[in-house]
Amino acid sequence: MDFDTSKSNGRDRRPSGRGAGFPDFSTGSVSRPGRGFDTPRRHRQPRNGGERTGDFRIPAGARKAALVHLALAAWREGLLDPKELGEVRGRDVDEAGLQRALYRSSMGEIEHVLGPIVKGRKVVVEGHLAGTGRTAIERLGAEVEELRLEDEKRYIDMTPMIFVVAAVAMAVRYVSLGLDDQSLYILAGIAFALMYGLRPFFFKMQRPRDE
Amino acid sequence: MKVATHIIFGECCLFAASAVSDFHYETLSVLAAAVCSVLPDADYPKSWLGHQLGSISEDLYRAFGHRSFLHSLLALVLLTTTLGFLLWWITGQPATMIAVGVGYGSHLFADMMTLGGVQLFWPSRLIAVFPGRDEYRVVSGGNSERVFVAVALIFALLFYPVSRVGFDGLIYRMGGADTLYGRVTKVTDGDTIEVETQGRSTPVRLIGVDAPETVAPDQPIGCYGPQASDYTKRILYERETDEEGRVVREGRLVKLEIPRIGDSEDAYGRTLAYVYLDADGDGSYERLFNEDLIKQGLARTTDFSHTYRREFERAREEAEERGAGLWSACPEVETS
Repeated sequence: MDFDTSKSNGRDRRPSGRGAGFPDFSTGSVSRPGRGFDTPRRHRQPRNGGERTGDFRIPAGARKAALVHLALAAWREGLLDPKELGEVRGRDVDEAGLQRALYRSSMGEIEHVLGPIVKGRKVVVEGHLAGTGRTAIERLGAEVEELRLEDEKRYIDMTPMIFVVAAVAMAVRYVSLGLDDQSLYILAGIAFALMYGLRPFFFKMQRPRDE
Repeated sequence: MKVATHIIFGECCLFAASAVSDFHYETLSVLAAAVCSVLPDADYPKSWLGHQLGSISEDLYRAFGHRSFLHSLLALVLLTTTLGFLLWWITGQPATMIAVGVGYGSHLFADMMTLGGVQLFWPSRLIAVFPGRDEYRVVSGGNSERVFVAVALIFALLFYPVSRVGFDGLIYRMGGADTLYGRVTKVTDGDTIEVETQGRSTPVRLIGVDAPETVAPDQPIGCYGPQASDYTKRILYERETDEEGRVVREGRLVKLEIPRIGDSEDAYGRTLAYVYLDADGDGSYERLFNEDLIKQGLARTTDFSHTYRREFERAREEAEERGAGLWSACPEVETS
């Protein structure tokens, strides 16, 4: 483990990124790029040659996974200072350490850090960005493009229909009271009790939204 | 999934549907559900049905692919409205149409529970799955399918007896009934009598039957009403005599079964009951006179829930088919 013992808690240091091998003798702050051997990765060419400069390419995933991958992509580009994240605790971190810190951080914090970096840029997702992931990235001001395969299978989860059935069963109980139909009342009551009792399992049976 | 799996699950669904809803089925409906539960696999040449159909199955596979059009809601609606209506028209039993829909729908639902899912909303290519998580779905031909068949079989065996008596019949049976023994002192009309029990005379209305009116002050005498009234008088008000011809008892001894669930009296203060006769003279009181009236075509069935509603409906249909009593004498009569 690397401990930062400086008084500034490492806030004034340059982002180390994955570049432990890149010497950085700068004594300047983030706002004032350092001299000497500073290597401003902001201007490095993207490794994935498919996109235009400034695009981020991330794998498909959940909202948090998407934000983490986006943060890592920004860090690789030298745009993200890991020490802006509270979970990093001012240490020098490698990619795995940063990833761990990102997953420990709240999504709000990651969005706060990423916001100025991705605003107005394009995020290319390798697959489907399910659930709220797309919304989260678009809310940061980025443009999202999903790369979909021609023969990609798209699934629709019918599990929520159970909740519709439960709602109908509940409604039928009151209808049966109005109709004075005791057997229907009992049947609807049994159905609703079953649905309500098995509710945790039905929630568990649902296809993960962010998969 | 295998053919047997679909058939068992289809029958399970039919029994469940019949148990909880207001329709009863005959053998033809059971067969219709079984046949329709394997029909969607006509689009798969490697399936059992595909082998039987040969080139037709191959053509369907080429045109639509497996688990697409024939596994969609569109096909379900089309088949139910065409084949279902046709069977209803031929047999005169609406249950056959329901059986077609339930059998076909059960196949779609069962396939939806497999890993592959079905294109339920064809022509959309979305694959409908239930449940959503892959690990909870059935692997076709695997151990999970065997478990699925076993569970479907257990449920089918559970639902079958319930489907024969109906859910309301089950509830009424579970609620139990009070039993009274008494002597018939008067027969008002085909479905109303007076019974002397525990030292007092009680008007009794037979549950589940509706004999044509004969004594209602504001209604004309109904078609076949006098015959129904005469039959009730002959059976229930039969004088019992000893060997020397002396009258031992004016009216017949009957057993009244009064369900504990539901109203015990109607709007006119008559006790609602099933009337049992001791037909064999062995004190068993097993012959249900209410059902007897329906079997003879002397009464129609009522449409409210009671213990023996399904049995009465089946008896009415048989009487109607035979043209017994009012079903041939009064052809304009309504069925319920």
